[in-house]
Amino acid sequence: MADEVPKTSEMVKIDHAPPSTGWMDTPVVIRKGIYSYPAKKPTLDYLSMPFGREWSPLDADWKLPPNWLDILLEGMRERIDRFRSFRLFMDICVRCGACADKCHYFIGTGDPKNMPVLRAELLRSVYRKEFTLAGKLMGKMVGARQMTAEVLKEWWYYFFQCSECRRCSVFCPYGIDTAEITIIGRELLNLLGLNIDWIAQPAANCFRTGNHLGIQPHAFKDMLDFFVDDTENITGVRVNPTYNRKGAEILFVTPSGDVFADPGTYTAMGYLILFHYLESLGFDVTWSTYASEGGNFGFFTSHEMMKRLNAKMYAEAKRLKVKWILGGECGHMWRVIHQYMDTMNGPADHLETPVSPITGTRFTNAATTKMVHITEFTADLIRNGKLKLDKSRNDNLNVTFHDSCNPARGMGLLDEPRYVIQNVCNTFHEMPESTIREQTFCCGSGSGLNAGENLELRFRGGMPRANAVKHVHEKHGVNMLACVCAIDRAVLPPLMDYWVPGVGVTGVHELVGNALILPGEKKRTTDLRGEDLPGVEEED
Amino acid sequence: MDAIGFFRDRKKEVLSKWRDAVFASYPPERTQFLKTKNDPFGNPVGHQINEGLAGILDYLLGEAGEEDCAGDVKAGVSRFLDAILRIRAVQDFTASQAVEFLFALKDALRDVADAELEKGHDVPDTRVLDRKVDALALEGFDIYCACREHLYEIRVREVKNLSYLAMKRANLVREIPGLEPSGAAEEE
Ligand code: SF4
Ligand code: SF4
Repeated sequence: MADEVPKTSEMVKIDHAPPSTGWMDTPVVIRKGIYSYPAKKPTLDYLSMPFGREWSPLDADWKLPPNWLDILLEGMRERIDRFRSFRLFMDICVRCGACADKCHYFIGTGDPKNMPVLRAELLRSVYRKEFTLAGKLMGKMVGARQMTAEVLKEWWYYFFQCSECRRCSVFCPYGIDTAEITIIGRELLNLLGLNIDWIAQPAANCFRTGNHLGIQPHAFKDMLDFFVDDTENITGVRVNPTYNRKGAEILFVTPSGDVFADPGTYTAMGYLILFHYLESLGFDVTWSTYASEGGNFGFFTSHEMMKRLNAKMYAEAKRLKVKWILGGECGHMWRVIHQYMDTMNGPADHLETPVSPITGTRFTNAATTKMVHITEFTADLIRNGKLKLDKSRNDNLNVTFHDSCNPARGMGLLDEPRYVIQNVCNTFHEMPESTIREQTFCCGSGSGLNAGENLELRFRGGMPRANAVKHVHEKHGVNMLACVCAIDRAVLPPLMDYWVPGVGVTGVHELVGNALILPGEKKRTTDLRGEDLPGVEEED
Repeated sequence: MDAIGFFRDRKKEVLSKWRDAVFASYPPERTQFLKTKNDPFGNPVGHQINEGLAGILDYLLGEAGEEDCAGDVKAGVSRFLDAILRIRAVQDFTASQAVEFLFALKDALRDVADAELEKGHDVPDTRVLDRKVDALALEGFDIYCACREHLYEIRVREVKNLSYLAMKRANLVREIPGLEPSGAAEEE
């Protein structure tokens, strides 16, 4: 062979394998497409969060307050005392590496600092230096390092590349939950005004108007009125939701995404149809235009902010004097309810332990939070034979189910959604075992990372999920991905569009709405999306 | 012996050299994981790259099974190219870096041929394969560009879909006082 011809690798001289320095010595490179825009001053001011300012992650100077280091270390000290879990997680990791390749961001980005163990180590190294004797004396030898402005940038970059999904915790022999470390990491960053816009703005809107988008009560009602019209066009039955009705038995709270963003809106129509069906059976529910948001972006900000936003739902339940709360298909709302609500704002003694007015089932699992997940509620209805269903109206769909991280790992809701789906659809296929239930892969956009500017991060992180969908799409012809989370319904359609074209996304109650036979309904020719039902064309 | 037959006999070697070169384009911690964890769901990136490289080489050597691609061999190889480039299009690669892995195949072929030459064996003219690789690389550029375009389209659609904007236009939203529309300041 001709030696004079240089090889491609010699000619192009591309060396994109980074230098193999230790992680502590590899400086952070902040890349476009990965980071989300910083929070703006007016939002932070509105939330009474400190140090709102204009700054850019790409600038060398982040305009930190002069005493930022004192603030941060004091913040750490406080949280070490306050959260036993935090101290424990700082101390007990043996760096066994079992979690290392379990994070979807590591799998998709290949960035070692996206290994859960290293993500935690970003904070732990500072903890060692400042709060342990060994770290103070021996420094780097024991994995301790000084806090600097560069380290702070690294925290910001990587704690906003963790979707707090907890997948890593499932594999850790000690149960270390890196999501909890990220939560504390973000809380510390917030002490210095370092939130991201996509989190701070919805939190501020929610605090002000009651939902992420800042929709005022009349607009909220207008939107639902559209659905009432659409539902009537499709079913021939006019449903009549009520708003802010005092003395109703049940308050319904769902993420505002169900009311304002496709395909969540079809899920909202599903709720309306179900509620109407149950009315004559003694179901007495009201929507609130003030507690018009189940989502809680405070959860991604700080414990205090989470508490503040969560309290609004319970305050509204108290004001309306309802007995209990029914919650829609939301992700992190449920993690907040299940894991934090009771210690933060509970027990909700002004409410009663939820009892289904139709089946008489007492939801003792919700005895303190007084809030029932709608798939639990519907599964109970189906189990007791209370719903008249025509599964064939979903026959154009070949369905699989994505366990959203929060309901699955955050509250153990695994079987109810599947039970409901399988009772309203004829064709259902599970994705591979290592990608569902407790081991489910995150959508890649959770915990406030569903911004637009970080699309590459989202698509890398969502790749393992999409890959499993692709498998069932190719093997079984799956064409619909069902889920019980509004963030999923917003972010999975573009993710599918990129990785698995031909697969749509739906909420579980959209499927219920399609199958449920309303008394007095006309012969349906389309599904809730207005698409022809299977078999309709041939009949015409 | 023609080049195709020659490399068919040495396919394993070519593939392993090529694979090593491709995985070397990832950070070291990553390479280890990509190469060693053989799990289509736990290591989807590594799996798809592995499958893709093998598929492309099969095509190059005229061994692509027609049943794999419904009789359309060309479409079959495009699918493999797409699988790899779709991943590289969202990773930290420039356009040239993303596509470079196809040129690395030329090096792998030459390394294997050179080794035979050193042993004193006859080596056929490999230019016919070079031209085929070039054609694949050109197609690779097209696919890479299509993936990036796809990303931008999705981004644009997301922005448009923000019903928030629609409602703003309809004057239905009350904003936090003094706040500009989300992200507008940073848009280029
Ligand atoms: S699995 Fe647990 S103990 Fe092992 S490295 Fe990860 S966090 Fe540490
Ligand atoms: S919580 Fe999820 S996103 Fe965060 S490190 Fe663990 S696996 Fe990764």
